[in-house]
This record gives sequence, C-alpha cells and structure tokens, in this order.
Amino acid sequence: MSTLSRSNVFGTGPNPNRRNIILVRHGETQGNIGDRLQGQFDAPLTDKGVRQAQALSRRLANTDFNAVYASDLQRAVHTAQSILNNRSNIEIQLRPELRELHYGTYENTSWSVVQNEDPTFFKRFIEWETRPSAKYPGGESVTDLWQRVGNFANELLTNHSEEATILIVAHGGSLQALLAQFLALRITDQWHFHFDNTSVSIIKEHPMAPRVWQATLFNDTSHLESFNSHE
Amino acid sequence: MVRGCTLIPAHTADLLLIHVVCVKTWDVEDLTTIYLVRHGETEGNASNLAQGFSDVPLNDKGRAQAKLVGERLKNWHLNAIYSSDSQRAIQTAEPLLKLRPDFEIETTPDLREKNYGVCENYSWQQLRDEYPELFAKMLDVKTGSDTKFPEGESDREQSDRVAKFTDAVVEKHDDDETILFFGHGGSIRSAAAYLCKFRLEYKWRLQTDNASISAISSAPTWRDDGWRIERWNDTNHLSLAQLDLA
Repeated sequence: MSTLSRSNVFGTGPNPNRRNIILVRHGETQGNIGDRLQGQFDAPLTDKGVRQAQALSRRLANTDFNAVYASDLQRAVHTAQSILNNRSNIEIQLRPELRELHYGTYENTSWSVVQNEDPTFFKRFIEWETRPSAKYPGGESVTDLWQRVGNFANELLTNHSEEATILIVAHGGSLQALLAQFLALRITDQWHFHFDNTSVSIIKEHPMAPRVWQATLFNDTSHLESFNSHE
Repeated sequence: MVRGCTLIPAHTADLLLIHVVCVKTWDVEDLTTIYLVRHGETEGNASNLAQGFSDVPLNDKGRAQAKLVGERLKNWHLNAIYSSDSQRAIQTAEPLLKLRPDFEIETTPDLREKNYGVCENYSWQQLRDEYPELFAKMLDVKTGSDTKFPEGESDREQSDRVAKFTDAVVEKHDDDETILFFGHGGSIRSAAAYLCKFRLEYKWRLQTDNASISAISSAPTWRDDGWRIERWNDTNHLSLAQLDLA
C-alpha cells in the first residue's frame, strides 16, 4: 500500500500548485555491465557512464530545477553533478534514503553466489509474491526500501508544497519504489518499470487533482541515441 | 543480456566430425517488443472531445506529426505493423508505410478507442451536464472501469477486446519479434495495463500524447515475470529542438 495519501476521485477544481518531478537513473557502472548485486556498494561511473551523464546534461541544459536530490552514492552524485554542470544557483541535496536496496552480506557479489549459497532465499527473492518481504541477511527487504523511499517522498511533498520542478537522481530499485508509490501502484507492479542508465522519466501532478500523479514520460534515453545501435 | 556461442554443425566430407562454430549472438535476449503509437492530433483532440468510435481524420498538425513519426521509425527494426481501423490511426501510419513499402498494415476494430455510444464527440463539460451520475461514476476508481454511456462500452469491455487481440498477435509472432501498434490513448494504455497485469484503473496514470511512441517488451528471465515498460510517451520526434549528441 502506498504511503502517499491520494484521493480516489478526481478533485473538483484545478490544481494551481502542480509539481513536476524528473527522475534520472545514474550512468553506467562496472556492476551494471556485469549485472552484479551492486546495492549500496559505492561503485564509480565507467567512462561510458560519464559520457552518458554529459549527454544528459546537454539535454537538460535549459531545464530549471527548484531543487535537486540525489542518493549519496557516488554514481548518483556524479551523475547529478554532471547534469548541473557547474550551475551556481542550486545545490544537490544528498539523501541516503534514495540509495539502492542494501543486499547485506551479498553486496557486490553476483546472483549465482546468492543462488549457490542460499537457494531457499534466492527462490523467495525471485518469486514476485514473496520478494517484498525477503530480507537480505545484514541488509534490507524491498518492503524496507519501499518504506524509506515513501518517507522521503512524503517529506518532499511537504517541503515543496507549491509549484516546483524537482530533479531526483537515484538507482533502479529506489526509482521503481518511488515511481510506483507516486502512481499509487502495488508493490509488485514496480518491477514492470525498467529504468536504463541516465534515462529521464517525468511524473506530474494532475492539473485537476492535487496529489494524483501521472507519468508523462518514462525511461527516455533519446540523448543516448548515438550510443545505441539497436534502432 | 545473453551473450554466447551458437553451435552450428557444418557438413563436411567426414560426417562423423561436427565442426563447432562459435557465432557471436546479438546482445539482446529473446525480446518481444511492442511499440505503441497514438494517432496524431484531430480537431476533436484539440477541443478535448470524447471521440471514441467516431471516425474523424487528423487535422493539419496531426498530419505533420504523422510525418515525424514516420521519420523517427523509418530505420527501426520491425516485423509487423497493426492499426486500429479508425482513420486517424491509419493516417498516422501512412507516412511510415510510404517509407517502408515492404510492410503491409493489418487493421482491426479491436484497437479502437472506447465507444462513447450516444455521447460520442461530447466535451467533458457536456458529459458532466447531461449525465452527471454516470460522469461521477466514471471518475470514481471503484466504479470507473465498468461505467458506460448509453449504447457505449465500459473501460473493461474495451480492455477485454484489446487484450484478446494483443494475445492473438503475441501468439502469432516469434519470441524475438518487434511489433508496432497504431492506436488510441485508451487502447494503447489498455494493452500495456493488460500485459503488465496492472489493475485496469492504473492505465490512467500513464499519459499518452498525440503521436507519442511507447514500448513494452517481454523477456521472461528468472528475474522478470513477463512484460515490462521500456519507454512511455516519447515525443522527441515532435520537438523542434535539435538534440546535441556526443
């Protein structure tokens, strides 16, 4: 259940204090290429990740932000710094609540390690019905992630109660949790949204209903079109 | 991402020897992709009317948007093109079909927008004024999916026909094929919500602009259960600004 309150019926009047939130996933890291359980392991951007962030910076050069938040892990911080490209009037607010899921003793290992060492837990994690409550030893469960990200979201909306454009730079898992809560989806629905490195997603409040959110753009990587060859 | 070698037995003079040839596979899984394009603008869109089954054409802006869609998609890997049989959808497909004459388009009423019955082409205001109870029911999450105007369809009925059609198309194509649907705001969102197993009312939390491109893909792996949203409401081809790429 989402921790963000929302009305179930559209409001009766226009919403003058519409907030826009731009969600960005950090650039590529070595762990992303190798598909490792990076979690809160503080991996840096690869050279390609740095270039991706620069391409994104050019794309967002003319967008004004009222506030910028980023996970305090370096891959997110450096992506955010790259986007802002020395803009002087805005600072990046670092938030550990935006970090990726903590994989506990399995941080910076791989899925096959988990599968070999604890096949029962591995099975619980891969089944979507049991995944939310599967807690990594020494780490978190997705429910924990959902909770901390939801607390951040509530605080964000309280701090920015008037019209604002807010940039958030974070991780695949934390962004899934954030998006799903803003859109008032179920916890299992979040895994249907796939965030690419430096992709741009935008959620906006409905013009007629405060606190009812819509995704007006999701996972856009057009700024990387010269990087990718599949199109 | 699956990278690996494919074993190809090569026939040689000595049939007992099988030559193993390593071929680099593409860096994609057996990915089924469905691109979903909403038709370009019509006069009714510009005035915010509930067009539904009404067979209205694109306006000038819509026709320009259709050309930009064609340009954007002209080199994309595609295996098949389907469209709602409403002319606004077909007209949006036309520029692309001209650029890719090797493709034929298959049209279907199953991808049409929701039928608003006697309220076709009503504005939001007219719906609210003439059918206040139904209007309120439509906006209420608990009853919205099953509300229909006289002689019209409910969201659920529309979604069921879109689901049936989508299932048949996915069934017909191989696991690694790319399919393109030209459709409408409601029908596109229904397809995504159905494949991602969302509750029907969640579809309204995704916006679909005129001539936007969205994409869902399926690569069932041990971690992903079926379909996922790859991109939603991409309208970069409609922007006048040039993207400055590396």
